[in-house]
Order: sequence, then C-alpha cells, then structure tokens
Amino acid sequence: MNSKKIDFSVGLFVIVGLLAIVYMAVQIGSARFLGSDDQRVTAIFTNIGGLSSGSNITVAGVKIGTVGPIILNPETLKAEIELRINKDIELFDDATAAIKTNGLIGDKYIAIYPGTPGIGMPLDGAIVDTEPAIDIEGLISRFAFGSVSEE
Amino acid sequence: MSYKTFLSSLAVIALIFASTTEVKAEESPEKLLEQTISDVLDLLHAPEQELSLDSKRTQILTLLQERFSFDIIIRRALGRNWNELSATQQDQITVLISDLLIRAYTRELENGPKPNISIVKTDDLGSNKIEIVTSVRYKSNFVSVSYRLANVKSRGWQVYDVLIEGVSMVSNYRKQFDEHFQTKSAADLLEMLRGKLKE
Repeated sequence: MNSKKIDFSVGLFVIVGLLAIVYMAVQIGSARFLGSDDQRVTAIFTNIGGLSSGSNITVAGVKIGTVGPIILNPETLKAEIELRINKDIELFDDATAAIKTNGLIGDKYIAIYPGTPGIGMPLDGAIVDTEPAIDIEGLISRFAFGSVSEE
Repeated sequence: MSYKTFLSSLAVIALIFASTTEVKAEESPEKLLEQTISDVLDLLHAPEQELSLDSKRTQILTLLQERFSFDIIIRRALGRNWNELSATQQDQITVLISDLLIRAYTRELENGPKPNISIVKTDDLGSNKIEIVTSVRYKSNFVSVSYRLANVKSRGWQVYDVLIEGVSMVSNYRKQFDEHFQTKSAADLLEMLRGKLKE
C-alpha cells in the first residue's frame, strides 16, 4: 500500500514537471495551440539592416505584434516582411512602417503608424510607405568623405 | 490645291497635333518631376533685381503645387489629429504649413550654390504608387532624396512624401504634431505657425 502511494506521488511529480516544461516552452517560444488572433500584413523595405524574425512591432512604443518570416524578392531585391499584428489594430492605406533601433546599438524593431480612419481606405495589400533602417556607418563614412572633398 | 488634298493635309495636321498632345499627356512622372524641380531651382536662383524674394516664393509655391500635393502631405503629417480640426482650421493649417515649408527650403537654398540633381531610378511600390530616387549634389556632398508619388484621380502623379536619406518628411512632422497635440490645441498650432511666418 505504501509502495503504491510512493509510485503515485512520483508519477504525479513527473506529470506536473512535464506540464511545467511544456508551459515554459510555450511561453518562451510565444507559440499558440489554437489558431492565432493576429492579422498578417506584408511590408516592403529597401533595407532592413539586420532586423530578424521575431522582432517586436510597436505602435506608440507599445508592442502590438512580432515580425514573421523575412524574404528577399529576387526581382526587386527588396525585403518582404510578414508582420503579425494584433487583430484589434485597424490598418489603413496611409499606414507607414519604419525600422528603428532601441538606443544606438540596441535591438531593431518596427514602429508602425496604422493610418487615419476617415482619410485612408482600409489597407488592401502591402504596406509600401516604409522607412528603411538608417545606415549609421554609411552616414559616418559619407560625412568623413565629404569633409575630405570639401571645396 | 484640290478640295481632297486640302482635306488630307488637314487630317495630317490634326493627327500630328493629336499625337503631340497625347505624348505630352503621357509624359513620364520622372520627366514631370525633373521639370518641376528644375523650374523651381531656376526661379530660386534668378537674379534678385528681376524678382523679389516674396514674389519668388509665391511663384515657387504655384509651381510646386502642380506636382506636390501639399494638402495630402499635410493631412498625412497631421495623421489622426487631422480629424480633430474643423474644416476652417484644416484649410488654414494647409495654407500656413505650405508657406512655412516653402520659406524653410528657400531660405536654405537661396544663398547657396545651385544643387545638381540626377534621377537614379524609379521603383514601382504597387497600389498606384511609385518612388523616384534622386541623388542631390549640394556643396560637394551627395544626399539621397526620394520622392513618393501617387497617381491621384484628375491630378496625375502627385508627390505625397519626400525621404531624405531614408527619413520620411511626413513621419518626421507627424511625430512633432503628435507631441504638440498631447498638450496643446489646434488653435495653439495655428497661432504658433502664424508667429513663425512673421519671424
């Protein structure tokens, strides 16, 4: 009888442990079991400057989604990014997206302006009004080059 | 000249006239933009004795309005704040900001050398929008300036945003307007703009 009690406790401990591991994996990976409550929109950028899949998407600094797969269009040589945005955020055709950096060398994220109701039509297709990541090294080298060739 | 020959010559003239007007109507947005920029720069660098600065600014605004939709640019820059303005305030803000933009850019460019502008490429953005990428050589520096144009009904290709080194003018102004409307009203903005124009 005592042995059965010990077996039951061990079994229960193992099951609880496994459930805890699954819960942690789901939380860390931000995965969902049942469908998703986000909308998927494509944004096209000329330069994403190291932005990676899983980066945050924000409106007014508040996280409203994450970056999905990023592909390079071989014809246009532009980056096409899938944005997974909360369904509550309504997007219009004057929506804009910009790649920003947290601080000078922090993580990259996408800041979105969802557009204006009453002025813009509901977004149909990709967000094309985008601002690429600013190439700080390029600007610094151009500044240095400019100072050398100053007339 | 027989009646038949006269009629056929008339038909040829009509055909030539029709084809030239069609070519003009279908002129590429790059050519139209290049022409507008070139006309503005010529006007800006015209000798002072020929045109006063104020009349230069008035003429530049008229020229730019053919290709630049200031109403769309300003509406996009104000974003959601636009809907909080009355119709009169919307009209007043459009006029004041257009004047301020012209004043700011002419002030910078009028005393400097004439910038050299070359069109690099045109990208089709989809959704009836294109981006014309230009390279501007000004005081021995090269700056990338991109113009975003939309094909607007009855107005043709119109500039709705300008990106300097990838930074959008509309987004830049939107941030400033958002900050203003956090604490102040549309009437304050109008007053501030009028004050800036008087400076």
